[in-house]
Amino acid sequence: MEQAATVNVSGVANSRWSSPVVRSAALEIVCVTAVALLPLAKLGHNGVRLAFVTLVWVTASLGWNLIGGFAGQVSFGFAVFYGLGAYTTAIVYSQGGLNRFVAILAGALVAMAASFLIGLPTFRLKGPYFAIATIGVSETTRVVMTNLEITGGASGYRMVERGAFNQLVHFYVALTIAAMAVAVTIWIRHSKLGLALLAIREDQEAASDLGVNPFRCKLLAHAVGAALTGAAGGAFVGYAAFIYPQGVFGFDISVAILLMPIIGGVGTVWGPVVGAVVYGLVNEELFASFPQLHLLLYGSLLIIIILFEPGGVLGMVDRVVRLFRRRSSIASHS
Amino acid sequence: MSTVDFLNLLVSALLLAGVYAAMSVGMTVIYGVMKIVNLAHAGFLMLGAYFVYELYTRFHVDPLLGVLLAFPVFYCIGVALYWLMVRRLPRSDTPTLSSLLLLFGLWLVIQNLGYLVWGNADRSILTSRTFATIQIGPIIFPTVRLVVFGAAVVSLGALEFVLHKTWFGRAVRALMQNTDAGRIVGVNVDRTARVSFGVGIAFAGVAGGLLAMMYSFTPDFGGAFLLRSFVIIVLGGLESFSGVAVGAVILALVETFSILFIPSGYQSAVSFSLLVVALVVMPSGLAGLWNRRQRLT
Amino acid sequence: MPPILRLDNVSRHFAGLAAVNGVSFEIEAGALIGLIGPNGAGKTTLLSLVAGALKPTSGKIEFEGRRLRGAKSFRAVHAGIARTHQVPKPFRTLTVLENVEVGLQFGRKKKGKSVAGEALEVLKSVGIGHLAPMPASLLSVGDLKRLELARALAARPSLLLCDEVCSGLTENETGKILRLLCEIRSAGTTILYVEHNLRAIMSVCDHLVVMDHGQKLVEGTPDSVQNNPAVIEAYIGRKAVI
Repeated sequence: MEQAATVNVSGVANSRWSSPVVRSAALEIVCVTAVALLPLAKLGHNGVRLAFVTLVWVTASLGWNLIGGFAGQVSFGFAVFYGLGAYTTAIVYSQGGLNRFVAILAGALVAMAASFLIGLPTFRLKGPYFAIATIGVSETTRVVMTNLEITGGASGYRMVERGAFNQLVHFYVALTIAAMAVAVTIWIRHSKLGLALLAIREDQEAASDLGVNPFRCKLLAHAVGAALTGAAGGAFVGYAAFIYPQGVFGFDISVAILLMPIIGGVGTVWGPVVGAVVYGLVNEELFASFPQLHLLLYGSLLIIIILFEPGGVLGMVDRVVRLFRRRSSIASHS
Repeated sequence: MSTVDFLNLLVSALLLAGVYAAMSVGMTVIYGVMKIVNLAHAGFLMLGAYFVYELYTRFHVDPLLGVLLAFPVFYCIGVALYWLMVRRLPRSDTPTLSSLLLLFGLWLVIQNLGYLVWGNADRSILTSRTFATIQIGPIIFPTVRLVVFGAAVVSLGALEFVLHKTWFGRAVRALMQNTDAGRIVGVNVDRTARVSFGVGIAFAGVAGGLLAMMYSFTPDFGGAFLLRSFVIIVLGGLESFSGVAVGAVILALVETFSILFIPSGYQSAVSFSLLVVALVVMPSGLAGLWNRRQRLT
Repeated sequence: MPPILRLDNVSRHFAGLAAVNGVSFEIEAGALIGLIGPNGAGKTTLLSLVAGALKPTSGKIEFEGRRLRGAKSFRAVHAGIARTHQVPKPFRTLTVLENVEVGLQFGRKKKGKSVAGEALEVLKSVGIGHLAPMPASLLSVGDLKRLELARALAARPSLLLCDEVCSGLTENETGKILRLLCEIRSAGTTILYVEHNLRAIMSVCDHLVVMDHGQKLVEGTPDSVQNNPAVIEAYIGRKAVI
């Protein structure tokens, strides 16, 4: 037993592939390439749109996961970053005349700034109180935006389009951002910050007793998560060209953003991706056939996951895999 | 602004406070005993509203009687839900995220059931009382608000009685202070938790019915009131019943008088912002601030 | 040489009740000091005050000559103080190795690169090297206690606060931990040690501080404390452990 521990742990691995970072990175490259080739598969206009929306969700989901999954600080108000990113991108693009990527970057930065404004006073609160405070913040922002005339108020804001609409451009923009989100998540997960966040999630007091500054770590994770979610909003508005407060700041957006990682496997690298894909596809199909049932579905899903499989889809898969491994090792020993 | 207007607003606020207190008491009971933040509270406010509404429109049951009937009905629902779901949650002395998410999921389900059954048209309960007004001295206010306030006070009074004169009440107060100590002295934690959850849901149903007598509603009716309940119990200190009364009065006063200074569109932002401020500035509520002052003097 | 730790009339109240009441003493660098007293004497509260997890309501605590502000334990860790917890607080979903890595990465001597090898060494020094890849949630109470010690050691403190690191261990294991504490002390770390196992603590400490009802009752060598009538009286009537 001690031998095995030494081999695994001293850093002298047998092959590079045993490092989790390398494995995750390889998986990401495969996925991104596969998705990038999707439009060639004759998906049609609707299929590409579905893929686009899913990629936006993947990014937002990963963003939330950094603070909600890794650090365990569940936020019910991530729509505020999504909305700020969307509005900022729309305004910077239309009024500033800058190119798309710069506009999205601006959206991400504004969302990041907001995350500090929000996090500084609220991260002192314990988990559920923080969650409730985030609802308050998000809803306040929505109400303010609904009344703010310069951004269009309740009637929304229409982007000024330059050039013809090209669906593929938006698709690849979203893919790029999603790929960055996955890369950032992988990097954080295996970094010192990631270790700190997980420790904070388990026991914040104990983490502090070992020298972790929980406040700073949470602010950092929150900032990166907010930036990613803001970028997702920015990518979205590029395609939609028209946004209104209820659509991007609404509580249902916050709910969606937190549901996805939980469905897929909260606190893991790929869970939010899986959850976003599931959510994206199911949502589209559901809206088509049973428009009134989606809250019911997500509510029941949440209940079932919390009660029976807190690890979400990935947790279930992991359990099944381990069951098979045990069965096969029993079989091979008998 | 004349004195009469001021008095009108003040009375309005106080009447509202009564209902707000009744609305928040349900959450306080559940939180105090089980340290669970009941996000589904909003769903039960909504169901309470529709319950009273249906009894009134289909069976011509007076809304006040409907509210009274809501208590046992919602109590049973609460106990059933406890048995089905809530007792499976890991027990803890501090609020857990799984409890938060579970009840949030329940809220989504209830909301959707609401939409399925009743659609999203505005409903209201219109009785002869709805437009009648009463005049006491120079102050005029709608009868329905007075009636609702009266019902709220009665229910709170009943709760106070239960808390101080029955085994359940003593058990609740014991567990609110210290779950382990309560267990050691023989409090049946599981049974008390079950009854508390039932009572908490019952109060939500009752409050929903009372609110429905004053406002029109749709299935997402609970949401705004949920946040208001949070503000109230946070202001009041999360575990104190007298704190709930204080918190309710403060919120009602702020909301009522803010109309004078803030454009109507921003109204709902008032309770949301107050919530954030309350959480950040006084996490242990006004009761906590008061205690700290007492200790320093 | 100034004392490494100096408590000056330190008190800590909780809602009017004094858990620690006007305690003063000093610890020389490199000493192994025992803190004993009946249950409820305030020993763990005192450790929490020194560790920076609690702020004193009055009095002052000086570490290496500088005043400790308190209420942010990670600052105390960066200054050089680390503690174990009476009831272990492991990071359950992390492996035993990762638990220790947290201490190494964020303790006094912060690292940037991989610390797996160093973490394994620390685990071996407390005797649980073989448990490195296991999730901490699967450990027995005794092993959890040793993990607590390993984590605190990983933070490379100059003052180590041990809270009942031997309870739950067998006679043999206790001996090993005591020897380890002596080694740590020889390497230059000062240790303040709270323990209920009086025989264990008497055998390793140079000096004992006895607390009762939040106050310092007496302090002195193990021999003098053992025979002190006030100390005996404080223990008898609750739990005669000697």
